Amino acid sequence: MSNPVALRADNIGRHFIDGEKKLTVLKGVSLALNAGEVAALVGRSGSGKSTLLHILGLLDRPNEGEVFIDGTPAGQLPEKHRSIVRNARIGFVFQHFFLLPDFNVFENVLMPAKIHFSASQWMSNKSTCEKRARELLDGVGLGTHLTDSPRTLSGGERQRVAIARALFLEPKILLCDEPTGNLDQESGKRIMDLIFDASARTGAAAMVVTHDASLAERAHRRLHLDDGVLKTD
Amino acid sequence: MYTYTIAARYMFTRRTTKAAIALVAIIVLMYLMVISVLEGFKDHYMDKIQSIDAHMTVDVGNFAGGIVHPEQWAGELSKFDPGIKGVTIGIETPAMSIFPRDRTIGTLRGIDLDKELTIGRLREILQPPDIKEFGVQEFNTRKFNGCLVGGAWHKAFNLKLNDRITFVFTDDDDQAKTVAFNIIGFYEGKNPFLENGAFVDRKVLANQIKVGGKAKTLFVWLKEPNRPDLKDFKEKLRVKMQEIVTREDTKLTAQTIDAIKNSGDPKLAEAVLPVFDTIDRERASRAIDALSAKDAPMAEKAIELLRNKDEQMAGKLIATLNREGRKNKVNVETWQEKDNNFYEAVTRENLMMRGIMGVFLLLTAFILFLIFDGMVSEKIRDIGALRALGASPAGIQKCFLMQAIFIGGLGVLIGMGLAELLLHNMNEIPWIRNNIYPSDAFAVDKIPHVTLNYDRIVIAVSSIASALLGAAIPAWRASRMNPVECLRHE
Repeated sequence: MSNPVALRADNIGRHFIDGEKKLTVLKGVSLALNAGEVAALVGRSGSGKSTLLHILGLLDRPNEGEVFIDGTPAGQLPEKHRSIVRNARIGFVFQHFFLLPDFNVFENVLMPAKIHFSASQWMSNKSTCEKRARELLDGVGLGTHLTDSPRTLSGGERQRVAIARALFLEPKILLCDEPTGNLDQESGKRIMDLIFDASARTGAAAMVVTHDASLAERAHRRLHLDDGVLKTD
Repeated sequence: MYTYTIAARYMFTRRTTKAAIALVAIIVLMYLMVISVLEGFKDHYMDKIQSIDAHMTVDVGNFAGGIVHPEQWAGELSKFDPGIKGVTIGIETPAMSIFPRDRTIGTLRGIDLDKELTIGRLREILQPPDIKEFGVQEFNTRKFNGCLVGGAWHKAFNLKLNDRITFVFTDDDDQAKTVAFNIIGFYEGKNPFLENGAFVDRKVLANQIKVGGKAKTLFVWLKEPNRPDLKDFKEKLRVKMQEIVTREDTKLTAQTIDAIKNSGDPKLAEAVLPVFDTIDRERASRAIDALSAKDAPMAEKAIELLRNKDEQMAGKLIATLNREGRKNKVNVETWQEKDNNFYEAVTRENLMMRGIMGVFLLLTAFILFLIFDGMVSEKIRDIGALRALGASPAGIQKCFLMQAIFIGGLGVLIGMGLAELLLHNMNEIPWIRNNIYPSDAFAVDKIPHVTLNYDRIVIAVSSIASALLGAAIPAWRASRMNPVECLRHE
């Protein structure tokens, strides 16, 4: 019996209007990702990979079609509810890390929990959350860098912090936008190991946008986006 | 929870937010310093006014002897309300004052010194402080009644104890009077505005003015002269006093009618009694009394004409009586009204300064707007990251608004602390003492200051509100940003 579908997209269309020109980026994209599955999304630059990832991650809205998170339509939810779903169900890892430079490593990892909990809930969950943040940072090999500023870390280390942060609330879906794009080969491999490991361990469905063919080869499935049209191997 | 965390962290990691805190602190400091000192001066001068002038004065009509039974009426008023500390009696006349080497014009007031010392605040400003009575002093076989002279005259004319002072004034018959007094002391509360005059014994002055046992004014001293319901209390007092005067008038009317009836002259009774029937008896009675006192021959002539049933003249008399009667009303004046120009000026100055500070607060809001707008532009990538982590648009907006509250709050605390420190130590700073408020120009030994809780609350609330106002549009802009564009922002 296959794992349940964690993320589904039905007939997603997305276009942008630039003056009088209509630029179609995604054309009827449909896909489904099962829990624990890692899919690589490949395609040349400008093929709409990031746009698709943003729509799947509820950061953007499709012009057509619907996104289902755990079987629930989420694409057209009000912004407040989309934010809640994004916080609780989706973890993002970006090429440029997007760590908060005013917070140290430990605080960055705790941020999803701080967004998740109200002030009173945070007070009662604080010690549990801090324990989990330490465990996650230990897991990515940064247990000794808790109080370091992200500015002092290497690219690989920053991405590991970003992965720990993305995994903090045990998301059902992990969306990674060229997570190794700014890293050397060795660091890139380590990041991909962490993503595969997290998916296997937590059962999260992961979609990894990459240009690296060897990394794509490791995925359970490869999705090709060509001029806004999705093709599967 | 994150909104507090983000707001607090941004506050301490950005130079611009530190500048914003400093700006709010400076505004709070300026506001409290300026308003506290203005309030201090207002309090100081009001206190000086209240130390010399009674808190309320009660007159009846324009009569020099309008207070017919001063002791009895003062006693009644004293017991009328628990808010009244006591009532003293006075008469006043404008007078030319001739000193050994100079002369001037001012007010000559007759007072009961013992009562002024116990009920009023004269004791606080009396020099020498142990004077208990005006007394009579003898110099070269001539006897002089004692008098107290105001600080303004003391200073302006270089007067000394036992100098002679001669007053020229008119009595109730408009006859000129010249009376010399001996200076036994001075009253000086360092308020030249109120100290152009002299105090003498009331009974001595009453004899000179020819008002007998009557008085011009009742001075009402309140336990709380700054009570917020001063205007209402004034009206209450006026109604009470009118009641006393009406009672007295009715009594006088009855006595007059009885006198006419008992005169044994039926023609007089026949002629005069209808007058009392057609006009307000109370006013008529007071008017006849006044008319008699002012011009007894004319009153007699009028009654004589009435006696001859001269209807035309009777009509004229009625008109005269009515005219006189209209004056017969009680006037109550509060200390604020008596020194209205000064009080209004000080109050308006305070109000105007608050308005100016309001403009400064608006300017602060504008500067904070520029600071917050810059900060939002600087934090676009952070906004994108937070949105990806699940922060809602409202949450992003709250981050910046919360920061505004922190900036405003911290600025208020720092500003208030510095203001308290400076206010309590400014008298020790020579530059302020010599340049900002020189003591000879402001007639103060120390720069006074009073910080009202009202002002503390107003400045705290308005500073935080101006910070919120400055942050409102940038925070709204941040919340409306497209997260994808934020993540793509270079």
